[in-house]
Amino acid sequence: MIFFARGIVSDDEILSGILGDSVLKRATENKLYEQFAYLMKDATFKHQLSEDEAASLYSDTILAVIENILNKRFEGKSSLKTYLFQIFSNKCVDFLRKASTNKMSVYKTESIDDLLVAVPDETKSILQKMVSENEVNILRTKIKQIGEKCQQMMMAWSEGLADEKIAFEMGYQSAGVVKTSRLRCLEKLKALYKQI
Amino acid sequence: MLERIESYFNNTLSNEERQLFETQLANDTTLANEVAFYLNTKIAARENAKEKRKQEFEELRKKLAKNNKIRLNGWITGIAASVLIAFITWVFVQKNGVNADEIADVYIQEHFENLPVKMDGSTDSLQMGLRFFNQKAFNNAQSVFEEMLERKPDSAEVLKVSGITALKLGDYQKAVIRFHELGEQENLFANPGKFYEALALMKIKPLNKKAIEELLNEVINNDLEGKQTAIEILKQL
Repeated sequence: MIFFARGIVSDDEILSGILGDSVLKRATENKLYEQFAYLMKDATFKHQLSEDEAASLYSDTILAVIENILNKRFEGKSSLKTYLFQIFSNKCVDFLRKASTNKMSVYKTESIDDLLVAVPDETKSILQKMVSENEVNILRTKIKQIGEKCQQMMMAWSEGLADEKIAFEMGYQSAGVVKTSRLRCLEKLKALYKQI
Repeated sequence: MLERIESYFNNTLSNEERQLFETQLANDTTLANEVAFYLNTKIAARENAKEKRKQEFEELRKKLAKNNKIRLNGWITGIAASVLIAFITWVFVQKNGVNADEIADVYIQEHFENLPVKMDGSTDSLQMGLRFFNQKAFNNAQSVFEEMLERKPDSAEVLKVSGITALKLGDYQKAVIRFHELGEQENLFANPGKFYEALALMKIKPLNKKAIEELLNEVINNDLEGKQTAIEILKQL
């Protein structure tokens, strides 16, 4: 298989790339997507999914794998290929089950557990009740109205990027300026949100 | 109040402050509402980020389908012609992993999606060209920029946007020329010409690694625009 080496990226390269700096991170994520893209084709035969359905589930799978790598949930006990295949298969089966029982949900609220790692159980249960799918959907629309720069900054923040990195990526002078600007963006969003 | 909430979730409050925050959260509706807003916003922003990334993957899928790469990625290509093509590719590629072309693609995708346009509805040629660019009418945009360059061949801003448009059109040779002219200009407050020229060269096959390295080193050594990214790229070349 050495002749095919150009297109194949090793697990180690993918892991270090995803944990690396932004430009490399994106390029590695794209490479990961590309490397196992044939699974989409397999799913259209095996699970009788349409190409678009398989593509959407495959994108979700890649995003889940990236998130698990970043959160250190992927422990390397299996190869990335096996890990990714397992998640993708589960997503396909879940999709078919939901479709057949007519319970297809278009939107699935992001688990808030990642945001509450350092919070004690008692407070955690209070906070978990505060997250509302409806409010999240409203805010998703409102975020799109607060200007390109704010949007970009809030997306980077939500993905857990440190202020130093955001400063570098977006050309701000320091992490402090990023923090002030983000809080200003949040205030702006709150004002918009309160108009409802 | 948002700052205090953020400090709580970032775990930067003292133990006393944390305890006070948690007690208050259970009893104070105003604080609870603020926290709810903060959490819902973070989740909403993350969902938007994922949606954006999914769209980018979808574009990648279309590109892959176009290049017919998906079919090549299985075990089905055992025929001699494929082996020969793969061997030639292997000979020309210096290392595995994410290559220069892909890094350049990501940079172009991330940084040249939209170009800033004045919102005052001004009708000068540059603004018109930029609006064409943002509407993805790249050929129209390039016509406008070229007309402007005929009148004023050394306009730094037009050289820059014309080079970026050439990148979008896949006309990498032209992009190299434009960025080279830009990079040669002195007395500019910030000149990304050298860095962009390296970026355009990264898209041209066979890869002129030496020229790219020289340009990137020049960017780094002279502290020019794009220095940090140049360092990252050099590590991958």
